[in-house]
Amino acid sequence: MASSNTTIDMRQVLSLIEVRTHYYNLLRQLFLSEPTEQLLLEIKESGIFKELPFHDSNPLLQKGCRLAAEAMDSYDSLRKRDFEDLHWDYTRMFVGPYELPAPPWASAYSSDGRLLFQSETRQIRKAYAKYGFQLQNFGSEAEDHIGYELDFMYRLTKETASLFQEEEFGKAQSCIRDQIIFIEQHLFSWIPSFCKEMETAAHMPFYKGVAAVLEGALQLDRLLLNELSEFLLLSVNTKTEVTEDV
Amino acid sequence: MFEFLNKVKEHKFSRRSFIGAGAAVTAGAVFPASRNKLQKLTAVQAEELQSSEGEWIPAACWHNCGGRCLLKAEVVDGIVKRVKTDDTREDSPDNPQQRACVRGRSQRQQVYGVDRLKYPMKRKHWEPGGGNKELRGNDEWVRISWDEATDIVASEIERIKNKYSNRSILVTGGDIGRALNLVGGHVGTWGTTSWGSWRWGPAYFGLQEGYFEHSINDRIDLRNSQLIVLWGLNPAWSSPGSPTYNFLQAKKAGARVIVIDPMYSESAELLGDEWVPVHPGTDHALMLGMAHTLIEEDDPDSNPLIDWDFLKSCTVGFDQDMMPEGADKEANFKDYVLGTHDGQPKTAEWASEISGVEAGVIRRIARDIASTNRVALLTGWAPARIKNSDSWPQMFMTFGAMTGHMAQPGRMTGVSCHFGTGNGGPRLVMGGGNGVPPAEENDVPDSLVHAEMWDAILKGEYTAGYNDKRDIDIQMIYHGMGATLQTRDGQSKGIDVHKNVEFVVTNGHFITTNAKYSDIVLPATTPWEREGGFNVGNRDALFYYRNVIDPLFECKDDAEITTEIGMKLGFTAEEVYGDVSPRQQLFNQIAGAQVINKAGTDYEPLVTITNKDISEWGVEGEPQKGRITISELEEKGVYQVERKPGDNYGYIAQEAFRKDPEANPLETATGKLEIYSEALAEYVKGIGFTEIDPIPTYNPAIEGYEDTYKNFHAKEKGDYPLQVINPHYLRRAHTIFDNNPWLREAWPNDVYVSTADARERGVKNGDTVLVESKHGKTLRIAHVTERLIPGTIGLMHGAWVEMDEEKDIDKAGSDNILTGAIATGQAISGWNSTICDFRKWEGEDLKLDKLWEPRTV
Repeated sequence: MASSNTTIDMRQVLSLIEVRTHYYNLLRQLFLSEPTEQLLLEIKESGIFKELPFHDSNPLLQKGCRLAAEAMDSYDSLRKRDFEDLHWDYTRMFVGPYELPAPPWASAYSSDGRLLFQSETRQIRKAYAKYGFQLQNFGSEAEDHIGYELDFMYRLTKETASLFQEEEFGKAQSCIRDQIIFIEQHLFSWIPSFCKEMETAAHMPFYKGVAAVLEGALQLDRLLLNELSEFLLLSVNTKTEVTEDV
Repeated sequence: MFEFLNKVKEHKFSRRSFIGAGAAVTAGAVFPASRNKLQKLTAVQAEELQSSEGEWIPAACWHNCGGRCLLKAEVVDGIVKRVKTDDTREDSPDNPQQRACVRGRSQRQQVYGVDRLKYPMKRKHWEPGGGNKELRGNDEWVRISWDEATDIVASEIERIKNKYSNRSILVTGGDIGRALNLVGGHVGTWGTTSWGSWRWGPAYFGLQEGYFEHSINDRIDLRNSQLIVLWGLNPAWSSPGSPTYNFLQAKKAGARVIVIDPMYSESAELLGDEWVPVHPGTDHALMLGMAHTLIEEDDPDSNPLIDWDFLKSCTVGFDQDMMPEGADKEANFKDYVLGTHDGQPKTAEWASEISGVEAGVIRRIARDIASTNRVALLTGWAPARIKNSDSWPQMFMTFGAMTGHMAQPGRMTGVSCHFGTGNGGPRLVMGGGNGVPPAEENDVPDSLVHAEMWDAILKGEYTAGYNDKRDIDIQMIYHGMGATLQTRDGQSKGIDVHKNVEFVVTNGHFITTNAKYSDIVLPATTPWEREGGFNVGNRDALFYYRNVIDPLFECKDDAEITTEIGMKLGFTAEEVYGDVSPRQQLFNQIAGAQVINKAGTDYEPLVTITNKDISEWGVEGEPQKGRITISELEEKGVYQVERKPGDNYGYIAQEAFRKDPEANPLETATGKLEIYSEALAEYVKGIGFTEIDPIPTYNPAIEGYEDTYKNFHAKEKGDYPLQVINPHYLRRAHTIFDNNPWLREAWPNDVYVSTADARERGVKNGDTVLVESKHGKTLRIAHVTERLIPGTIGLMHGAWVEMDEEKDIDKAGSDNILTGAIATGQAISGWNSTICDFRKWEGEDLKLDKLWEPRTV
């Protein structure tokens, strides 16, 4: 065992994974569908963006959290009109019926001409299937929607926590590796473009903030995953199970 | 190392902040349970996902583009990877492949377009009665469920019906009438659409309209023509697929080709030996000048130019000796041409002043046509999409009859357009019916003329016939399919109408113009997402398509949408749409498909069906013997009748009539071709707009060439000195594909302006110009070209309007922003008679369409 990690205990590891779960849970709810009044109220009242763990460790994340928090603070209370503005901002950017200024599907950024259902979509479908997931509306909705990709990462963080708790370190290492691959090969391939478009397209400062939070959070998570992976390599004497690329 | 793990230990952040305060968020309590999310798969399902292989599936290319082709989609894991076209046969002149154009090959970009309508949506400030109606086109939207959407549509139907009546509900297209007719019906719309004055008039004087039936011979016979006149048609743009190839074969067989057209088109470039530029809408005058030449110069012995035998045996009305019984003998065609009674001979010089074609050229072409043995006189519909052009088709027929170029090998006169381009005759192969029972009768008799309807709705009065104006109070518009607000005359008024009525609903694929100005938009499937069916095009081939992919998002078939609305109105699904399942409907079409028999005398079943097929399909039916198996049809996606010269499938239009007109009369009042047709004049009069003479006299178009002058005889130009034509452009099929990224790049949609007109206005190629008519304004980038007759601009048909409401200027180049709601004759939509001016735009330059930001608010 390396000396540098002798001070790290399993409680810290689980806490770190919990931080990750927390991020993805927040983000998936912000992106999977239009915001509900309840979600926005909860975000406002909890001040969640002011206290996102490690948010000051990443400039984008810091900026995004500040924007989102300030936006929420600017409402005395979340009036119907405020909610509708936020709701419309999401609808306009990600649902329609007008042309989408920031389409929330990876394929719109990776193929010729703002398309749904491309090879990227098929790869994502296979990544989900490897962990036994598929869309409820299989065939009709595209898997590479940002909301599903975040939902997938959320579920993998939970899976990672379980594997650690069960002391299945080999499997934990594979799972972490797959998450790294998913971020590197998939999310990072389009999220910078997507967040840039979203940042430009958003009328509401809140969503400009959320765009930065998304990109910053993924950058942060890439570091967190590295630490978890390093930790396993150094502290747990087990080989990574050979696994196919996601 | 382990910066974050250490920080977690050091509690440098408050645990409360993410576990405590965010608990509700974290717990997912606010996550809407009904919305989609990931679910668990079984191991078997996961395995299947990894192992599926691709398949080429015949996919619909379903557009109203003037052609029809085979398209196939390679589907892997339920996703279309790429498309290809006809490789099912060797390509040969007699039996060409039915290959897709740039649009068919861009169809994946349409079906999978990221901007597809995905969910039912409601305009935010709509409420029963309309709410803030002015906001239509600029409002915010809210996604709603199908249940809520169909509730709203059904309750608005009921409310408007009760408050006003069924006469306040306008349906512009689609099959929603199936539901509405169950509750008392709806107002409809009608007009000459693409045909112009070829739509209904020809039935009265003895030619065909050119879509359902043809007056021209088939493509193999076309090779017998020595001279082909292409009068106002550009198949290279307007009938993609194989039609242009037919002309190329005729040219290779030795035919000369004269192209008479305001534009030096791609077809002219490919086929033409001579281009005769003509002012739009003056074709009739030009042809009168040609007729005058023949009458003046004809001598049956020394210089036979007129086919007197044909005129005498097959026509009425040419001269005073050929007038039908009871008609005024002075009202004959020849005396009109000579100016015997009106003092105005329709000489080549007279025609030249109007048409812009030199008198010498007019005479030469007339002689050329009349003295060549076998000529094909072919015209498209474009020269008939002219206000006041009701007599033009009859003029075209008359000139064909004078020269005798009809009803014999290599000789024909008529419409060569759309599916029938360069290839006339009945279909050699066709699909069967789907077995869906007919809709209930519509109890509302009112139907509005396209060219008048926006104006009529604003005024509350429409023309129902001669001296017959009726009140109308439209409060609901249902756009079931089509692009009415984009494609009908007088769009500015149409937008006003859409901001006035109480309720508008659209089924669509994208935020089209119809959808944009609606209260509710309902996402419809494309044919790729449906069960399958047949598409037809040229007479030789039948195209079969199957289901390619699942319906995207929450899209539904139009039939399902109509059914669900009908059910909300209190009917069963069966009452609305019958109980024939989509699978059975497809099977019925296959079982009923027919192909010409070897002798060319009758039809026989196309597809062999076995008991095994029937049980595999899970349908009801009977076994039958045909030419191909179901599986071959499903694999190939096309059946094409093999052709060769001299086979039994050729077509000579009106051949029997010419051989023995008494035994084989036409379906006109006299049984002859009517150069004098009281029935035609009566028909046009009865529609209630403008009137014509029984013979084809020239009527200048409203907003035509003459109207570009303040004083025509003094040649003093007016405020709108230029004419507008709307070529059909390969960027689009009418309006479809306008938002397609590949096509936007390939076809930038510039406005074509002539070099002379551009120079006069200080406009250079690539400048942004403002094009203005008395009805509206639009911006485009100018393509300065020698390809247009000076005095005419080419504004391509079908771009989706994009209004800057403050400036009242469209920036998309919408053709109908420039047209007015002006109805004439047989309810003609006269798009090609529009006048305008253009100037260099002083405001911000337009970006190329392909670089446009998404259309949003």
